[in-house]
Amino acid sequence: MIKLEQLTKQFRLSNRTLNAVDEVDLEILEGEIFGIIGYSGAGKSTLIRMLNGLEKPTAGRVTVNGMEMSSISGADLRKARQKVSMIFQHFNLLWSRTVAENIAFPLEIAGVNKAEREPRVRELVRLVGLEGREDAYPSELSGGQKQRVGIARALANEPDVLLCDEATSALDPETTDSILDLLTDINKRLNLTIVLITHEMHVIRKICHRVAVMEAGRVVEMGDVLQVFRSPQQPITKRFVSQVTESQDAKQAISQLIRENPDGTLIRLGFVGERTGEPVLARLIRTFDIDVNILQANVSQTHGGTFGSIILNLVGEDQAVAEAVEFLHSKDVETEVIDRD
Amino acid sequence: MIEQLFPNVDWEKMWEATLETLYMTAVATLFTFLIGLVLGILLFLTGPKGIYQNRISNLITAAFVNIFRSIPFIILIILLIPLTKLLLGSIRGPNAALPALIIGSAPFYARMVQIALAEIDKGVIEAARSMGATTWTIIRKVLLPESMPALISGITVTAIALVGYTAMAGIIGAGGLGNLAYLDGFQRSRTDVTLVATILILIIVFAIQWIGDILVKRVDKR
Repeated sequence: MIKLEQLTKQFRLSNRTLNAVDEVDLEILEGEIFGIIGYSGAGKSTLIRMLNGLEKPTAGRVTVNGMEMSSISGADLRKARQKVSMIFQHFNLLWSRTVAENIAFPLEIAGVNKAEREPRVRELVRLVGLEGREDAYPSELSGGQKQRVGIARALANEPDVLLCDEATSALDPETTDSILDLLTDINKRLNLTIVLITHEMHVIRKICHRVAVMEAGRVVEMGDVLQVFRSPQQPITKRFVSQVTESQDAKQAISQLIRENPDGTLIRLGFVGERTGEPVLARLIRTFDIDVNILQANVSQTHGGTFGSIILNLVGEDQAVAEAVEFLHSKDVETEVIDRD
Repeated sequence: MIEQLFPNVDWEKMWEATLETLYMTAVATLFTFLIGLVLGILLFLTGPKGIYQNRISNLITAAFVNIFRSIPFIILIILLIPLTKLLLGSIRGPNAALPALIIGSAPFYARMVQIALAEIDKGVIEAARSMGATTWTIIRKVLLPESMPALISGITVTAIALVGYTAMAGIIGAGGLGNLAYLDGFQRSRTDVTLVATILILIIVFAIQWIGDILVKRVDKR
């Protein structure tokens, strides 16, 4: 559906060239929700803008649905953009237009006549749950409602791809979830391919099928969301995963516990899918002559299944602790010994 | 009562002069709005970070705007006498003032338009581009409506400045309240004529401001 080949974008700064996007190869499949995560400045914003030709690549190719976005221009590019729509962090609605007029805007651009616009707008308003607000101006809407207008507007010309540029970053957690639910719903109902960029792992966890992690213009890690959550490889990915698996409070509690319990081995266990239900812990405690102290536990729901993590402190003879760790490894549970410092 | 207060005022003449001032202001404001809008949009689109970056046409437009904005109005009128003569065949009467009024104020308004357009959220323009809008559509459906309050308050200020310019143009023979105040009031030492002309100019200015404020309030949905 979307193919990036050796995609590179350079910006010339006063004293050097910056590789905002650096030789990225990616393939995004039809109907999937693909997330790109990275901190600000990682190049994800530039990357997503090359998917609809808002930025031209310095080198490499972007193909969307058979159209080579990186080489077309003028009328062809404008036509192609109607099928690759975009929603934005700050919604970018026209304040001078009502909800219905904002949604009608892309239809006007596409040359749809008034008689056909009206029923289409009504249908879109219903799709995003804004019935009764058609004649409101953006200034009268909440952030979540504005993003719903943004989504309706993006869907107006029945696109093949929806690009989401930090679409929930300006929203509070609850509203974020309702917008993410809406996106999931649209993805399923319309079989729409969604590409989203974000710096919040929560967003990736909640709706994405696959994820790419970007750092300094490069994709450093990519895979199924569940897989990435279960065994993040790169340090940056681990940091992102810990955004959702470890709360700040828990981190403090752990360092507190480390200080209070100078003995023992700290272990993080990761459970995936069905194994979450298996009584591994009970058997661990019964089989080995060690004390098991649960410092923290949580369960996260990802799009592909359940992911849980437990942090244990194992106290006992070195030999027994080593055997216990061995036992956990043999149970196909992700086991990681945490450094004490 | 009024006869005693303003013994020298010829009300019929005063009314005629008021109409002339209104005529000059209205026509000049209309053309200033249109020409200023075109120049301002050109400055915005061709300027740095504009959609149609073009150094050369930006430099030419900016030079034109800056030069005509810098010439003091009273000198501009004199400089434009040959052009006025060519266009209208005369340098007297309200119509004769129009070329100078428009050329003097359109560049001024063009800068205001440019500022108004620069205030528009860049994201909204990007959104329109992402939908496949042409530049013409962006101008018509994004730039103009989204900057309308600033465009209106800008033309209000410009129209008020134009009232002042008409008075200046009046001194060199263009008619209107300025002309009356100068010839009938100042030169013949009839202070009451000058006073009445001034009051009428004030009323016109206040009315323009009032209308402008109402229009801004009506279009601003932010």
